[in-house]
Amino acid sequence: MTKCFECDETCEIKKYKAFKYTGVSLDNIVLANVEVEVCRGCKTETPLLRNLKKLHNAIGVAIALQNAKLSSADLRFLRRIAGLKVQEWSKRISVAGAHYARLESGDRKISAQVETLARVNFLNALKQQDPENVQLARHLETVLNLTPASETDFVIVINAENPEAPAKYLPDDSAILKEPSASYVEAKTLPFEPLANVRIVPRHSSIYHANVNQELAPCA
Amino acid sequence: MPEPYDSQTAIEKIREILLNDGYLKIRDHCYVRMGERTVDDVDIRLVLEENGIINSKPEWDKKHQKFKYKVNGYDTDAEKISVIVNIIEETWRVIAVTVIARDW
Ligand SMILES: [Zn+2]
Repeated sequence: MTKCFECDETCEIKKYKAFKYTGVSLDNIVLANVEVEVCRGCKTETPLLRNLKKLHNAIGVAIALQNAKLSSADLRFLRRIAGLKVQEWSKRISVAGAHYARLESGDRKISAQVETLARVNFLNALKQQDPENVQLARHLETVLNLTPASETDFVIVINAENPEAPAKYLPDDSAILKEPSASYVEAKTLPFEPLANVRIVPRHSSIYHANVNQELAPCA
Repeated sequence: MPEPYDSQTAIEKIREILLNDGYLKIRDHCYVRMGERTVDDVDIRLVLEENGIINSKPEWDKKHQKFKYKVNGYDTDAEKISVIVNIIEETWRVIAVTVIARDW
């Protein structure tokens, strides 16, 4: 049995349907089907992450394909996953370095042109790492045809067991947040059509920590 | 006390685990330190899987009965960071214990 680092009690591993992933400086990422180590004492929940590069690339792809405007945090994430420093990246997206810093810090609005260049350059950077990946070429086409909606709150759900499967985009509906019982609501009209199979889930609802009570194995 | 890995074997073991379906577990305490230093999982991965090196002897953590290895590397903005880890080969895990900024 693994002992909890924080309180010395024993831990068990559970598989969670959905777990809010706060490890990447973004506040709207949820991992589906993720193994989480849960302390029997202090109840600390620690996700057990695997294939982190794949997972982070998948989050980047989901951001590049999102049919909503990029936030400053999204922009920074795409740059870092592309493996580029500010200087090189800002050159690629045709923004002066000093101005770019203000885009990442959220002090300036990101123009539509910069958005498109960021998405395209991100996907190109992944393509350089993985030239055989035909999916990326398709993604590039999708990006060029996006007309991102503005100011839309949503969460991105990545399947931790298969990060390369299409991400789900679940709108964050504040009205639903006020109804704790409504954890799942079927979506009728959604702005995020390109990647379907979408359900509305309130961002802070219990679904994010809804485990399936499936104890996999003692975490020895 | 068991025998620790030497520096080269330790970094190779970390990569062998993380690049072959092994688990990375980042302790709660580590996340607190990461938040203070604006470091996240992307930086931790970069150091552990790609650019980090170990050039000091591991410390024995008496309380948890594990060696702590200090991996020095660069984050995604080329700042120096160190990630302190336990290597648990039996359960195919690397545990990030804490992060230190500009310490090497
Ligand atoms: Zn505990």
